[in-house]
Amino acid sequence: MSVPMVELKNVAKRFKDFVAAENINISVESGEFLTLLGPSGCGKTTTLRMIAGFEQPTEGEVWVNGQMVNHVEPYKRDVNTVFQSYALFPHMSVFNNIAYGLRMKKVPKSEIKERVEKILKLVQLEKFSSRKPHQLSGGQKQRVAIARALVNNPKVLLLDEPLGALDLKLRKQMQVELKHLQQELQITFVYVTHDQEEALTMSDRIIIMNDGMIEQIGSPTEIYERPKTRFIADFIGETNLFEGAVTRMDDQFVYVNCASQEIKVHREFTSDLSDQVSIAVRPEKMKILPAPDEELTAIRGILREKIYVGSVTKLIFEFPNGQHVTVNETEGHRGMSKIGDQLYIGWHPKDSVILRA
Amino acid sequence: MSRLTRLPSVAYAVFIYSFLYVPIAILVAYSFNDSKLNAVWKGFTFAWYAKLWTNTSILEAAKISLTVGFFSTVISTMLGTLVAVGMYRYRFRGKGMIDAMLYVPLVMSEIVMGIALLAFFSMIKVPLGMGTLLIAHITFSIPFVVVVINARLKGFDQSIEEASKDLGANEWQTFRLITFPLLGPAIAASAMLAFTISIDDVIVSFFVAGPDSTTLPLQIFSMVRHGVTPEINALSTLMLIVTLTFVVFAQKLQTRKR
Repeated sequence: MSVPMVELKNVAKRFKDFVAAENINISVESGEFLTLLGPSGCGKTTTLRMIAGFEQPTEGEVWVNGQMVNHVEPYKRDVNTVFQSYALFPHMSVFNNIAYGLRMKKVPKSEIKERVEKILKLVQLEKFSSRKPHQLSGGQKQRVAIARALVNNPKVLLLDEPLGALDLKLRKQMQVELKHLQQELQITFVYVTHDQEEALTMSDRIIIMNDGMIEQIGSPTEIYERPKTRFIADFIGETNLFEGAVTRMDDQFVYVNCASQEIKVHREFTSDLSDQVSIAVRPEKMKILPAPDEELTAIRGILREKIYVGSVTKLIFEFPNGQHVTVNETEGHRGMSKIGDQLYIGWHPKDSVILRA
Repeated sequence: MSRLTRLPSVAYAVFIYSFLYVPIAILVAYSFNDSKLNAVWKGFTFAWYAKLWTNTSILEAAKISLTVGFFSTVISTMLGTLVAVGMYRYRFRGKGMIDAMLYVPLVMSEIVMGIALLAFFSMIKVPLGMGTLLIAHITFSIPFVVVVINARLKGFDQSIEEASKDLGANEWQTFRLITFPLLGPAIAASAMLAFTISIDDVIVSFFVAGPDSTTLPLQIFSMVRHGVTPEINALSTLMLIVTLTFVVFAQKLQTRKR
């Protein structure tokens, strides 16, 4: 196996009486798009800053491209950063902003001109090279920040919530552009965001962080469909969680008593088997059944509310134990149920996971 | 606003501005008056300005004021900038207290400061003269410099310096190419402010100046004891122009678009 592009080994960062990150073990392959995802204060930015060299780890080792860089100054590392605030140099033109890194590396003038012009074309800002940052829109500043980092041909590009300041539409557009750029240039991206949708859209792998610890590492599909903890199930997308007690298990299934019914879940989707567990099911995996079904797990509930959110209608059901669940109304069922109806809600055992309660 | 309510407010504004500027206007006007008395207007002349150039004690005082002003500006600007940048960049115990103590001289009565400095100099047995004058001026200028630089640093994104290092610039290159140019206008503005208050100072200078280090304001002060002559009007007008120029430039630099 090739040497990882970035590797963090048992890294911890503590400030006086506050643990920012603990037990961080990450290995990023060359050309990979890796996202650190988590709520604010989870340690994702601190982790990124340790790779960039702005923070020193209290414990552990940071490796970039086969070299231990714990004591290497930021300006000597083969990484470049795109900052959340863009951090453009306000007194320099777009051209000079982008040329800054190359000038520091004493690249010949003619080559600087050539490379800056090439990257300006790549981010579609050819016409703006003489503008000052304050004459640019948010999206344009964003592109300059990316161009300024990319022009140096870094081994790794670190991005700290680079799209956080843009409005929704522009953000979606930039997500696609960034992903294309990364695939085209084959540069390793380490991307920090708190936006789960952004992470799912762009990443090859996602690392979920919470309270300074890594909760799960996996592909977007794994993270979404097989969350390992309650926190992740709750944080990524919408999810229905029911609590229950494990009653028995066989070769294939685990049986959980919940809302005075037995729910079965595939054994392989079980990350914890204490007595009290939570079962997580995504709303879009649930459907309304005309009658109980052999194949599916089904629970009878009362329709309490219908919420129209544009792309779908969300149906809120109440189970006999008082628990509420959200089900996305399917095409075939549209408009057929009304509030107060007693209906069966079912899902396939493979679409649910068991988590620690 | 109706015309009826506008009239009093206009009158009020006129009153306030008259109060502020009429005395100054009179002073300037009489500096061109072809009469030894400040009471009657006899005609226009530059004679008083010409006469200033032949008054050796005034010229000497001007030289001292400019010298002290120049050196206290340079030194206090350097020290104050370092203090402000240090306060901005580092966190340490008791920072709030130390930060607050910087600004006390801004509000402290000047006479207290003058006496304190005088007592201090006589305690450590330093003879009064240019040296003590310079030290005193540096002392009261530093807080002004810190305030101006601080205001600029408040709106300064720390990741700009990080971005510079990220792109391969070391500490010194980052300071020279990024931090200094961005702070430049604030540094210049604070220097102008420091120069203005040094040139204008009377009270502190009165206590710490020696017999051979009379500044221009002190010279004017002693001349006034024998009555306000048109010569003093002329000198005051010149000082007014110098001060105003510097303050206007300092303001321009501080509010300049980034």
